Amino acid sequence: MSAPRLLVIDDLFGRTLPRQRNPQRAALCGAFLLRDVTGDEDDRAGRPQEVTEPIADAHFWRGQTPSCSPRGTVVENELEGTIALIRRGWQDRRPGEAPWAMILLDLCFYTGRVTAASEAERGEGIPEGRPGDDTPASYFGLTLLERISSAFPGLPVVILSSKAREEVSHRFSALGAIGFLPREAGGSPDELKRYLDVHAVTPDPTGRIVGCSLPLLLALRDARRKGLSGSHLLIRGESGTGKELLAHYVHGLAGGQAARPWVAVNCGSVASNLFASELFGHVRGAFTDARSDRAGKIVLANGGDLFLDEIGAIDPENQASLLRVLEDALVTPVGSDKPERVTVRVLSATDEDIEGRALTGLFRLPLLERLRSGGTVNLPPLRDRLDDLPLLVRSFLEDAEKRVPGAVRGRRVDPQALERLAGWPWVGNVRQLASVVLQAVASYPGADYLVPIHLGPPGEVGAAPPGPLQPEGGRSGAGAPPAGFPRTVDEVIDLLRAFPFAGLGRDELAGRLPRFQEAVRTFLLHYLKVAIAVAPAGRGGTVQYTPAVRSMVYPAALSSMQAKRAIRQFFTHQWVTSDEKVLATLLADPVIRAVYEIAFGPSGADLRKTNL
Amino acid sequence: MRGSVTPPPPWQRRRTAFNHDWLKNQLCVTLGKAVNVLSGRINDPAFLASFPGDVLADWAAHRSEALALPASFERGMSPRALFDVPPLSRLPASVRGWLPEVVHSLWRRRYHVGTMVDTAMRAARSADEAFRDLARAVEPGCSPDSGASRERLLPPTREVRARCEELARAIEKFPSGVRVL
Repeated sequence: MSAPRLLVIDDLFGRTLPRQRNPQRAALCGAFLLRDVTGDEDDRAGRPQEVTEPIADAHFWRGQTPSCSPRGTVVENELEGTIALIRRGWQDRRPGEAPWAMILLDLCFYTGRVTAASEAERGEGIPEGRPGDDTPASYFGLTLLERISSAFPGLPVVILSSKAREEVSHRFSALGAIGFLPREAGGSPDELKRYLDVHAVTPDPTGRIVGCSLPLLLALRDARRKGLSGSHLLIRGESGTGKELLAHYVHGLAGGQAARPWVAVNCGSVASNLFASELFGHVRGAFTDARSDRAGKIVLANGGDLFLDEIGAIDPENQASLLRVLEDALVTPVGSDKPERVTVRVLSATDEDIEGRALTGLFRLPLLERLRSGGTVNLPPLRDRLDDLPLLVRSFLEDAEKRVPGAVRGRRVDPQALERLAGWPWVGNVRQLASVVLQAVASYPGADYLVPIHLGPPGEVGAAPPGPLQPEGGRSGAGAPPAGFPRTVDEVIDLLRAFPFAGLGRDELAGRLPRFQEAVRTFLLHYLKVAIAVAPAGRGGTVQYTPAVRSMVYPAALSSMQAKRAIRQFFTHQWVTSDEKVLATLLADPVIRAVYEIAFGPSGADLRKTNL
Repeated sequence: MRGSVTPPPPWQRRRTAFNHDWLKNQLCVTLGKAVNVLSGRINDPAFLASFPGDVLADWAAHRSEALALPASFERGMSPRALFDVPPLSRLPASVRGWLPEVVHSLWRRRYHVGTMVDTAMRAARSADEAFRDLARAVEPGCSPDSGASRERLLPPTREVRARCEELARAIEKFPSGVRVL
């Protein structure tokens, strides 16, 4: 994995000297263990020093013109050129190229004419300076910092200067620099390394989280900043964005404490009546099937991290129990009266609007506050990090080629295939992409290239739905459905047909069954409403449920009694009866209420078809 | 005059040239690199061949200024100097006979000038001593890039670097101008 890319903006170290290497730059690189990758020095000037284990690759930039200034030259500060250079390495990068991890920025830039006296005093090519160059109120470095902070929010800047920190401490803090590194602190680059470890915008060095797009790297940086505190963390992201991977990443930040426990629980796959036992453990005889003592997941995670996925699936009673454990740091197994002290960090994850659920009382706010006491990290959806598509496809191809027997290894990716993939809505995000690539390799194991036809013709699994998928700029407006959200009935139908359910793992489906059932129930009701709307109205505008039900799934010979029975079966199914709030919500809809009263009474009179 | 900052006096320009342009920007950074070369984290035979000769020569060229700069602070930066130029130079002689000394004494006491100067002088002498130790650690005739030579030079080099950082910090603590309030 390559070292972080630093941009060092400094008049002394960034300048180029004719026919020789810049000795001050070499000294700075030596002091801070940086590898100079600028490439602006003549190899004929001698062999460069070799840093055995650089902590970063440094690109040097003078911030002035000209970059090489023999005696007699007039040197001027170059603001726009510097901003353009930064932009090229931050926003306008080649695909797959990592951005600037951090900027090290000098404060005082001398301008004016290069004279014999100025060179004797400050070094070859350094000018005499003008009034104001050396005045804290007008340091060019602070002007640059102000522009960088406004043009490139998120790009970390550390001041690297020999000037007194106290002169500028308020100003550099207010302008957004994350720290101040005194130049004379070299030789022990630990402080710079600490800045890099926490604040640099860098990819995952382990390679488990693939990608170097800015949205992803900023999320990783956010995770590091918050994860290093050791406090509970909440991870939010759509389904398939890699929340568990990110939790692993945070767990791995402990570095030398690799032996710390890691325990994962999918709250959506644990039945409510077994949740307490699963998390807190039980003693023998606590309930019918409790044949022996069993340690709960929290105890197993003691001293380490507990990952709770799908926290929105925890029911209110279990939320209360979990909150007590987090507050008291005491776990009492089911059936026991002996609490055990635990020290566990909880990394929780959800793809729901958990804050909204907390506001409506469906999720306990105190528990949410505990779970996000160390902060919330948001993972971007795949549609917001399409720059990572080539890297992800490459990574998934390698995995798929290992899994599929006889698959050709190292197949190349046709740019048109990438173009096609880039136009999809990716509702299932990275997991969906992995599935699509796996299916492509499985379907065409001997192909040397991944090409568009491997991704399925329109109308089949893996195909892109028709219609515009992303608004301009790739971002949704306030209150609008997210980019790629189906907007027409055809898009919904195509999405349901195209979604690769077959590629989903068992664990993921099991964890989502309750919500899946809810979604199917909602869909069936909408299906019924559509069918009623399409069916011809009866005499006097009455609701005609028989032709509606018939048009849905039942045969043409369906009688009205059979249709009524079908409707009753729906309303008496546990999908509806398991939660009384569900029926109340359904009956709030006038069409559904009309159908319900037809099926169950009370008066047996048909109601008017309204509000369709 | 109220609220203004006087232009940098000559002492301040000397301090910038010594502390900012040379000590921090060049010597300390070079010593930082030297520590990493000697501990094997950097491979630079050309640097090793000229170490510590180059830094010893560099210190020798700046040694007198390292000692003279803090010693001349009180004379160079005292607000007493403001009475030599308008408008304070237009004060009656009867006032100028005692007021500058009173101002000087108050300034000296308020800003602990004596302590600042003593600290910087001690730091300069301490750095000088560390450079002498480094010079003594060089074994005549011994190859500079031998492991034994690097091992012998590393501790005094670390010490020199630490003392130079201390000197830089001590000189940085001197105020950078005379404020008229």
